[in-house]
Amino acid sequence: MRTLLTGLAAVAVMAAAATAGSDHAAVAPQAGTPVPTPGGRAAAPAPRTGTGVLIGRVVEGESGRPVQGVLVSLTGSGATQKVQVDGQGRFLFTNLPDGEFQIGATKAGYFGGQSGQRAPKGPARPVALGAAERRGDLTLRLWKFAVIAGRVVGDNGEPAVGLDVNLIERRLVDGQRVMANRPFPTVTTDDRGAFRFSNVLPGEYLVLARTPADMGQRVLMAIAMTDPSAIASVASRAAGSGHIEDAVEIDSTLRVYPTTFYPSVMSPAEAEPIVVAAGEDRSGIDIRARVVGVGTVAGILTHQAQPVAGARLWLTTGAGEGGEVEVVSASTRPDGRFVMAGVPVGAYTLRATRIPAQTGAFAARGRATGQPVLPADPAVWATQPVVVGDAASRSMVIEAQAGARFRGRIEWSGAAPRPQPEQMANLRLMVVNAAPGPGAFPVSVGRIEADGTFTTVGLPPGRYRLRLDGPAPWRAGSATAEGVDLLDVPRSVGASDVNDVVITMIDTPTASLTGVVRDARGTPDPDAVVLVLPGDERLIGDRRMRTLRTTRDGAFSAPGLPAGDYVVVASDDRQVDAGLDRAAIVRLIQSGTRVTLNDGERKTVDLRGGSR
Amino acid sequence: MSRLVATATVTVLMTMTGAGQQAPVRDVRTAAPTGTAAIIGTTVSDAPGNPAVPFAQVGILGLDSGVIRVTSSDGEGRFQLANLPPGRYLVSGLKPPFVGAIFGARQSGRAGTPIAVTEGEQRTGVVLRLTRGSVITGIVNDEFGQPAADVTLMLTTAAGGTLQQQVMTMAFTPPQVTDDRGMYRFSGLPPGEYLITAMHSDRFDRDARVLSTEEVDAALRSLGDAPPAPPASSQVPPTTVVSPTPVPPTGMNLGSSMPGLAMLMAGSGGGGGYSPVYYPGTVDASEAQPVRVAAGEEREGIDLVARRVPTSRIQGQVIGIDGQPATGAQLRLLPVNPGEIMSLPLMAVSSGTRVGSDGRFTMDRVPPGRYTLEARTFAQGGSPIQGAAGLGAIVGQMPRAQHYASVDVTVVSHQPTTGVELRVQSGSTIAGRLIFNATTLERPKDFSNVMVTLTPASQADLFLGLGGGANFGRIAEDGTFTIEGVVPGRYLITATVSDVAQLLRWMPSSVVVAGREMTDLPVDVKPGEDIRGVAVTLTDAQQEVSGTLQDASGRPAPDFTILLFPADRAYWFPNSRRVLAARPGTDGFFAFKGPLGPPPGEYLLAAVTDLAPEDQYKPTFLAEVAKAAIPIRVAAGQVTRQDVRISR
Repeated sequence: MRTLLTGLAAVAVMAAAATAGSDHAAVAPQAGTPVPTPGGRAAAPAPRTGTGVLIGRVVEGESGRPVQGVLVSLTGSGATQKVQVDGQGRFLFTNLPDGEFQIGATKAGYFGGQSGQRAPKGPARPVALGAAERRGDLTLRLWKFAVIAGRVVGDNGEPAVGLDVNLIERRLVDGQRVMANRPFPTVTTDDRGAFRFSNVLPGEYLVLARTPADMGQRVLMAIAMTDPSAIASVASRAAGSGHIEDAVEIDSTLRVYPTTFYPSVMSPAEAEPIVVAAGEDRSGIDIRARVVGVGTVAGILTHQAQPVAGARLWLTTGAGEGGEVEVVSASTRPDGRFVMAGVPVGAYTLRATRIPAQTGAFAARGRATGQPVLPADPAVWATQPVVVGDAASRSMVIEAQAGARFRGRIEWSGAAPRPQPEQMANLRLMVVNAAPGPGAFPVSVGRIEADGTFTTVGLPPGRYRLRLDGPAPWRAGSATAEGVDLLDVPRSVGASDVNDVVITMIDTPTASLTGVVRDARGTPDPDAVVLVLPGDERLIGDRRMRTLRTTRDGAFSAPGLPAGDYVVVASDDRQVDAGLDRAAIVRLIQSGTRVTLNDGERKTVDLRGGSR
Repeated sequence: MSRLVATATVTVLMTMTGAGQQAPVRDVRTAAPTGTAAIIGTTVSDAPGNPAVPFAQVGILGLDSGVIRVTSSDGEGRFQLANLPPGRYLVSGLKPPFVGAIFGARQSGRAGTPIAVTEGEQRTGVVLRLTRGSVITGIVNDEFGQPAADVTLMLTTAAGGTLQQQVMTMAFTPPQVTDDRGMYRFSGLPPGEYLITAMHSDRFDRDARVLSTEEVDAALRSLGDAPPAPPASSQVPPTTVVSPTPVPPTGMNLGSSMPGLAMLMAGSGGGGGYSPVYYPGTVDASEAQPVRVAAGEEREGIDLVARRVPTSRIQGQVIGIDGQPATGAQLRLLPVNPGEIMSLPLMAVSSGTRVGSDGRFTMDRVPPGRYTLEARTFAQGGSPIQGAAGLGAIVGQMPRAQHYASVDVTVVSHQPTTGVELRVQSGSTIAGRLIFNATTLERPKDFSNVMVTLTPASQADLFLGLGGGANFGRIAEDGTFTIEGVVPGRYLITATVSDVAQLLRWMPSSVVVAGREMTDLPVDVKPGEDIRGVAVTLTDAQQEVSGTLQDASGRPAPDFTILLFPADRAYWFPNSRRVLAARPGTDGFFAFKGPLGPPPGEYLLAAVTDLAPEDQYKPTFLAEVAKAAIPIRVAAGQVTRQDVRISR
């Protein structure tokens, strides 16, 4: 039944999208609240000017050929300019003050284009210009998107028409391949079973196809739309139950295509990933799929004999195999009951989570007004295997457990005055999920009492780190539980609370690392990439890892490092852009320059190597 | 389909998606109706020989028993719908890329034949003939001959389609986006005539100045010169322009042969964004060329040139009743010739425009064309209906419109239209009271879920009216209502109960305006004239007209359509509530009943061999049909039985 509204919504959204980026937001009118701006754009502050000049060209990243029809924007140091490149793909900015500028090139069908970018996913670097300086040597690189295309073929080789096809990216994060939380926008197979993703960034992807969830209802909608008496009949059934999924009987003989991964497998672990580089066209990604019947998953979620309302439920495939994909989701109703109809038969994992909302954490503009008020109801979760098609899946009784919490206290180690009670509001305790997926949330909060004890919300099982931001000069130095520092290393959490966590706040400044990268002849390398890595490979994570670009003088700077052992390595865009898996990171740790940093220290390390 | 049905459809469908109010949850599973009858058949294709279509979805809706079920045909196209209570059923089949088919429907988008089964009956031989879907495909290029990626294309039925047809087209043919090769493909289309609208995804950046080769060469050469002495102070007095002055291009470096284009790109045009483009490549909606496809036909090479024609802007001021600038005004832009779904982009334009405290406004992104620009101001504390633009409104707060103004505007693409003045005048007030006439149901306790609505009488405005432009009035505790600020025009006055549990149970039985019975008839709201003392009656009474249609030898004749329409021509207008059509079932039985049945009055009953939806309300068509019709009087709350026999 969503299809009608999807159609109408699609048109309305598209109409809105056609005006997206307008000076006015395309929202429903609010005539009761006149906006006192003069009709048109608000006047921007007058820009800074000077006599600096920047000239450059936009080229295609792989071939080096100039690109036409490109819009190039410059911002920074109080200046804003936009130009359309000339017939040779060149751009020109004049009347520039001194300072640093971000320059970016854009064109439909391309990505990248940021100043300093030398590889498709490489980091950008602002352009520095002195007073009245004139430079003509800039290059901006645009790369074409990749294409992944193919056909979905069903039984007897016939095209599988009208299926949803998705891409799921598998990205390297801190050395691990993880599945991106959100799949790509869905593409529907056409009458030939064909699909095409045209705007793909380089990377590694899984391709999956399945029958859309509302397929069964479209056949009914055709009747409803042509016959008024049918509408009256449907309306009375809908009114009777309040939930359309209760009124529509989906026969188990309904044939659908279950979630099928390229080339023809049912779990993400067995799927063949597709790796594409910039501009690469991977056609012929054909998926063979087979229809199966459907079943209903229904039941009730309880916790200590009480129904759990408003919990989110997921049926997933691939749990425990390094990548879980959601197949269908639903919510529990006020009486704790849930219904998921028309689910392809098969074995799944059912996950349920309810984390009641906390209140009071942030006021307008993100200013903390106080510590979050943790909800009185506990967070609860449940995980259970389900076989759709079995009678048991139609009348499940699932007992949820309370989520485990981190509990402990804050200690202060330093000479600075302790924060006043009203400043305690500025202490933000967060639990960071190391591997969020269906059933879990990326970041959760904790509450700190006036006496320095703290409790987090309950969490479903998973691996979590802690993070505590405090008012300067205080910062979290360590968060120790059973000898492990939870600021660095995620902790597996199961059914029990993690108690006696000690977070030590310190007032010493962080350390920083600077240096220069030189090539074999001793010339500073302005195009090098510097990697700062923890000396202990168990501490690989974003707290102790940095990826930096050298400046025009070959220099680099990494501030804000916690004390510890580090390794510094000079590399180049290409190597970094390809992505570093764990083995590569470990090799770099073993081969790089070691340096130990204590709190507040500033050390310099000069490196040989880099991009040349 | 009447406007009530259109409203009901959207309301019901929104309920189903959970977007409406939450009804209190009763039993999780209302027991599905069950019985001993069965409907058995096959899904086949309309290709020669009618080969079976395996694994098609088959849906069944019970008109009497409330069965709603979905199943599949098997590998040989056979399906079985068992355990049915006796009654009448509509059965449909769907398998992309085939167009969905309803049993007994002569064409896609038309009503089907209800299949009548008795207790224990096994009705076999039900053949669902699926039409092969048609395809429209092609390449979209830009004005330089380059493939245009990321362009969104929309299909609408060519002019003349009813509201129902346009909504169905949108529902079953979602928009397509061109890929990296500029290619698009619409598939699974019912045969017919379509218009194609293309919308760019990128926006025209009026601040970007186009560089010429000469300019860049000169700048490069000057790099070798000594730089000018830096000024004594690095603070240069700020200039008053926000962006660099547009430089007239000295060369057509974009490969364009359109002299106007470069000037547009240099930003001397007003507005931003690109106008929608209609196949084969015009920005003038009236010149859009329809594309016709037959059943199962693949039309290739339907290529479009997606010219980038920057939209323009309208600037002006809204002046209030007292001659002072009007604050808090809301604007609406309508094409001079409404009736196309393509005016949806205009809704986004309208809703994105702010009127400042001085009454001035700038409406950006207006495609070139001729329009009517309307302004409305609102009383304190009122705010218009919230909700997604263009969809059936989810009623939030009630509007309390006050004044309106309307002016015709022409917009051209390279020049802003400025100095538009909208001097508001008082809208009319429509006031009255609402009464419940309860016959079997208990009347609602209060009026909190009841609304009086004014829907514009024109079909085009109806669609726009579903989202914004309709007028609503809440009912006060004493049953009175007042709708202010009504823009002059022709409206149908009706009332609805918006509570999900009461959906369609209360229908208007009487709307008296100035002593005249105006139920289901458009009312003229004249400028400066109020209409007071309107009496609206909602009733739960329902009427029924039913019977059997037989051929000359007394056998059921299901292959016809029955029309029931008022004898009075005043009711013969698009989407009129009283012009009804129904298909007889396989047993020849037809019924007009339920909440969407005929209000009391004098009617004509006739049978026609086929009914195209666009003909249903045409006065010329109805006049012809009237010649062979049987007069019928429908009395309030009564069931009228009238059999019809086809004599050849």
